Amino acid sequence: MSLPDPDKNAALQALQIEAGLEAYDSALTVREARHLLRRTSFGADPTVVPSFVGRVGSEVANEIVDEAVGFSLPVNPAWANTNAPGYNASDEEWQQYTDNTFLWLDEYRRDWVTLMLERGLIEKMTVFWHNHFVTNQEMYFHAQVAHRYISVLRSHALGNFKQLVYLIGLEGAMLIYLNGVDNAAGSPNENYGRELLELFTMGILNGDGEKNYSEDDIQQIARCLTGWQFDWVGLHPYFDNGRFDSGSKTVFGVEGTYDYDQLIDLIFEQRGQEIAQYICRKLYREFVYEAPDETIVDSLASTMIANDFEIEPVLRELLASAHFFDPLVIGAKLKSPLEMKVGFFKEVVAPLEPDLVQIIPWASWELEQILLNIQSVAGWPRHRNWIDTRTIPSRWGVIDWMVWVGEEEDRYSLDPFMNAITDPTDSQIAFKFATAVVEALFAPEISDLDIEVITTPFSGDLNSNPIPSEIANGPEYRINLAKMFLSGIPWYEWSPYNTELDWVKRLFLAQITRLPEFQMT
Amino acid sequence: MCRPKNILETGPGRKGSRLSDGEDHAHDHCAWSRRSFLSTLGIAGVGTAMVQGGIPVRAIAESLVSRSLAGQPSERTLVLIQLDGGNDGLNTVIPFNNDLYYNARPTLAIPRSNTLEITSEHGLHSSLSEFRSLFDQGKLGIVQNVGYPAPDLSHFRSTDIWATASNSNEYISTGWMGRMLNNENPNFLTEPPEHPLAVQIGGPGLMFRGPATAMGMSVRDLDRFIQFMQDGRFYTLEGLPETPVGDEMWYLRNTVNSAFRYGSVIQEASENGSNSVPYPENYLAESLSVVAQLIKGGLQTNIYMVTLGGFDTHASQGDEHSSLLSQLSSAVAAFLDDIPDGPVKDNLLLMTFSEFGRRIYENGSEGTDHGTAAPMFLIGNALNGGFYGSEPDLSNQDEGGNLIHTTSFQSVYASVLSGWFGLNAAGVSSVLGSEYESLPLFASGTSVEDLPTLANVKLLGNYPNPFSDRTAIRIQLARPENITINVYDIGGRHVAQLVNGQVAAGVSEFEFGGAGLASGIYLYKVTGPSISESGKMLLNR
Repeated sequence: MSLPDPDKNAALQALQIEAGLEAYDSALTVREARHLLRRTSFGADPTVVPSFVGRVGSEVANEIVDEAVGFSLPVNPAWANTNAPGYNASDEEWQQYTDNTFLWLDEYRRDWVTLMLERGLIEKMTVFWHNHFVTNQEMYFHAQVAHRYISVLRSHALGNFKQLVYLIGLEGAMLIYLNGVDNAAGSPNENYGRELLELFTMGILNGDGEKNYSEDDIQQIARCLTGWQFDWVGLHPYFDNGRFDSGSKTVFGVEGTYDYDQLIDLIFEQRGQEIAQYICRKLYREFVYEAPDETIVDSLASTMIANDFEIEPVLRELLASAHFFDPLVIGAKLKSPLEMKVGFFKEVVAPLEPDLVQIIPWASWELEQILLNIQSVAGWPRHRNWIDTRTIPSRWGVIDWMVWVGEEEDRYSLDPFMNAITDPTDSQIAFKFATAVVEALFAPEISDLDIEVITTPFSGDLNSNPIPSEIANGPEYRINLAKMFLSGIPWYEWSPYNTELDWVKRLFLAQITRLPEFQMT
Repeated sequence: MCRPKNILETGPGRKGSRLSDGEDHAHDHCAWSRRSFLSTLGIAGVGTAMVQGGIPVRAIAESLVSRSLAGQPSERTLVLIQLDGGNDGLNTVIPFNNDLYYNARPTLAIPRSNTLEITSEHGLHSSLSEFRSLFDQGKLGIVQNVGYPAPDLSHFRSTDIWATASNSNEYISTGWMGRMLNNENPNFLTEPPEHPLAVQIGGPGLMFRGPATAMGMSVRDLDRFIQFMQDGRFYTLEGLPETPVGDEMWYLRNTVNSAFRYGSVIQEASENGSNSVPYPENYLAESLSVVAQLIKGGLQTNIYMVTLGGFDTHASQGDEHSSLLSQLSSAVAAFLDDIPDGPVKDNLLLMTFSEFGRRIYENGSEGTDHGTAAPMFLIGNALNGGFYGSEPDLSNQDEGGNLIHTTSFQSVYASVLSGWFGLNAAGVSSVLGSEYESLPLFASGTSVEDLPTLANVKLLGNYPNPFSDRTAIRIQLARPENITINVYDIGGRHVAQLVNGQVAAGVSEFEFGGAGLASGIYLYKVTGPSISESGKMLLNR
């Protein structure tokens, strides 16, 4: 619908990686463990990292997939089955209902973010499918419709892709968003038919640059999709046979009287290879790197076809592979706003308090990545297209908010974070804490960062309290980070649990997250 | 030359000195040194001349905005005031002789005696007392009944329509201001100007989005923004790992360096400027006080945007609407008091807009629902005060019981682009997509012919830029010469030769088609006995 901005990712080339999809059988380093967590669950929870280190990479990756497969659906919201006011409802009823709807949506986004913070891959995949089968709540309005749509995505997030395509096309959110409800015999609307092929299943071109379908295919497919309607009071789709075009259609050169079910079967029969490649390419972009490695994509597509479009085996193969753990992959992706925010709270072990979690959806308006309200049918921007001179200060502002939220007495504690990344009883913690923070929060190697060189010496009486020789002779970045962190406080006066000095940690977090590389994952 | 510049280390003297600090500029140019081939094209050192050379002559030529780019102080400034939510036009400019108005609004209509009468037909809402005195001084223009055909009553969609200047059945991803600024600054991406082209106080939006990138910057809270800048610094672009990770680091650092550079000029302006009058306590007044501070502090930004929200008055509208209009009127008055009399103030124009007006009939909850046409206010010393457009006709309603607009908002935009910013007809239609009738808003219409022409320009740039399909590179020669024009991609690979042979005197145009090429920046070099210049163009599919 809207014109895309010029794609700043277009010039990127596939990574030159020898490792393929063979299982990664090395013991995980701390860096690899964080990489696995960052890519599969938004951020590297430091309370989880130690349990991964030293274990075989492919085994841990498989456990992550197991956990996502064994997810449980969250309890339905209390309003999930509420009807909309009827056509004769009064203005007051509508006003009340509208007010409620915005409250419900706020609550729903917050609860979803809570799930992202609690869980890993299952929510990552639910967001992935939300951004694949795009809808926009501005078009369908009702929170109940949003909930049904997201529930379908979550239920099948690692399930069968064909089944997901089948179900999502019959969701109210999609029928309304892409005008399925306007598509009837005699007056076809091609909107959904086109996006079903172009964006949701196969893309315009196949791997050899040939067109996957013709304009005529789209018109014929639109006819197959007719008949679906939406009950605006009960808020559910239904089939109206009177609106269905039961005539003969020719799709991909094959003739039949296809209805919805038969059409989905036909698309997967006729274009299975193209669909598998298209989806596997997108999964590669999500989990590995923006420019796909077509050899890897081909192998994943074979796996997908061999498993009758099951998503789980594909993800398993990719995440457990030596390719995924290659050093070139680590840190080579740029965070979406959601990854930045959820990742940050995960990595600083913020508590799952509703008022705190709420910040993440609230800040999404400023950062232009609003759950349930995706502005383009093609999905959110990706990678470099997220980052410009306007969005960078906005990202800083949001992280600032997440660091300083609350009045002093009710700010969330950073003690769990500190305990997870350092040993607070270490006598050198004043020097080591800052470096531990950077290692925990940044994907690239610390030695590659442009850390400010501070030439002024440490504050205080250094004759009576000399800098330990291990520190003085250690890496320069550690000294600079420690000076930056201590903000002029003599190192021997800083104490890890002193609540009066809580601001020192927060100030450092707010400052260090402005390093450009914080945006990498 | 390209070592990192540590702002914090340079101590207290750094404030105000950074802009003139050649090292910073050199540092920014180092952004390109990585692509060493660029210097062989002679681009790295071209600087301002590049910007001038790249201005597409046809659309932009000698507009007042491009004159300011050439280093002259900003000629004309526009402050856009968005009334978010849909302002009720009929209760803002009240047609107190119209019975239909009173019949349609039994509880909400404002009696003539409660209005501020400005003509025998019109009264302003009583909260707009400052606006009345501006009207009396001939500094307030009211364009009546502004809207667009087939109006969309969704806030989001209609806001987008006003921001993009699209028709209601048309989806455009760039804002009208973004397109104007992009035309004025075709090399914005590669040679960003030192001052932000547009500053929005508050959230980001479509208005300033150009074809390639956001042309403006958004500042939510000046103190917080400045705090970033005090902690910020430039990051080195040298010595990065030669890996994809290193490439992303380069991209991020380069972007942060640009943001920081704008931050530092904003900080400087905010330190140099201060408010000299008290402002009322409301969000709009706070935003306008920031704009005044930046203007007085010498920020060379021509366009600002501020927002006042809350106009979606579906219920119990009376007091709420009254309070909103009072905030608007008092904030604007304080802002105008704050800017001292003189050329800066004379070159200031304020314009209000809202995504729609409201329904003629009040609803059952003493409010009004989404409507269509509404008045726009324009304020400034240069303005021909008074009424423009035709009166809303309450007897001629659309099927939804709404006003039918008589002046399109695009024609108000066109009037500002031509009358205020001096764009010629081609420039205006390049921004707005077609030609619109201009309203005679300004006392002495700015004639493009009055402006000095750019002397002796040989490379006239390419137009359109960015382009999606074809673009034309234009050169101007004093006598026939043998000329070659070659096009390269950003990696230095030769893409095309557009000419290699004799070219006639005068202006010639060479077309370049983007078919089969990836989106991105392309470079062209024009060489001949008396010309050797380069330009950049952006292919945007």
